[in-house]
Amino acid sequence: VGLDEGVQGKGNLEIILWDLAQSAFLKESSALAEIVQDNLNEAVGIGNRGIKQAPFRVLMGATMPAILIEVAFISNPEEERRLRDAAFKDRLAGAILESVKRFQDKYVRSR
Amino acid sequence: MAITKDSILLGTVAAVCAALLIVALMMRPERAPEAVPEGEAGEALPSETPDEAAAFVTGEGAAGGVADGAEGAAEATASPAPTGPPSFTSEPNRREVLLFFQEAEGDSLGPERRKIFLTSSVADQAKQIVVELINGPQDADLLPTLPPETRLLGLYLDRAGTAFVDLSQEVVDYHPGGTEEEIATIFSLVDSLTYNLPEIQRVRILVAGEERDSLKDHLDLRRDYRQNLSIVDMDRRPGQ
Repeated sequence: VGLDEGVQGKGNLEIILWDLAQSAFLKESSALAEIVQDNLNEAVGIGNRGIKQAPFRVLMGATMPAILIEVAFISNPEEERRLRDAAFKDRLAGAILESVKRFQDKYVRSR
Repeated sequence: MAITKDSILLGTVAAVCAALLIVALMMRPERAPEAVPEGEAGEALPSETPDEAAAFVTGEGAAGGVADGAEGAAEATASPAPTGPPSFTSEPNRREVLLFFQEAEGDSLGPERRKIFLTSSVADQAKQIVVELINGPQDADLLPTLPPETRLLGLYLDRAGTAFVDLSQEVVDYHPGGTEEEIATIFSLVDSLTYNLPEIQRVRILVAGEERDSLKDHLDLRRDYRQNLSIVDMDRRPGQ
């Protein structure tokens, strides 16, 4: 077993290490995701499509709590229109900033 | 001197022959009950030492036993003869599998029953499962998880239980993209393969023969995926 897994090379080892790092932060990542989800619902009334855990490409390599936020679908004309609105984007950014602060108070400072 | 020497030699040979014959006769009822002609056993013996002779007789008995066993086995396999003409598509040559597609309502995957040919190699069964996934669901409440334009270019298994599924470029080009859609595509493949074929422990998805960074910018493809049935709605009654 070891050999066949080993010969797949350095790339695979890196991914295994990232996976280990990410699973150590899994609880914190989902706590952060929940805070962001709640705040976005409150600030801009985004429909809750739930929190999903999966190996997202853009989060690979992060050795810290990491989440991917999908705020709108650009393929949806109504949502595309809202994304062009500066005030909407300000509210989105503000809600995300508030979430990170709340997460920091709750999890990072108490470490 | 010479005569004495010869007679001693003859006497010894005769004594050895007699001893061997006795050994051979003692062995016969147990080891070789199929009536070996007496002359045959006698002829073979004088050239052998007692130990070798005993081994020879034992070997003959064992050989007979093996031959009997082989005959019996041949009869056993021959007896349940097929009643009709052999058919590749007959029911005994098929097996049922559960394929996981996207549910029309919600984010879960839902199972659908499908028959595949019971080919002897795991890789061949795995290929059929992937082709059936590309063909899409028959249940109206389920949605496809792979673009129908996709072709399966190859499927290989390594000794550690990893299945390498090589899909054509269309799996990316005709894919809508998005986190939910990519999760559905990947776990429809991974769960359908691992659920039906326990020999497959992990799945690596290749595109056009290459390792890619991601499927369509969301889900990582540089890794082996393991089964994740938490996104499968197993309570759903599988459609045919």
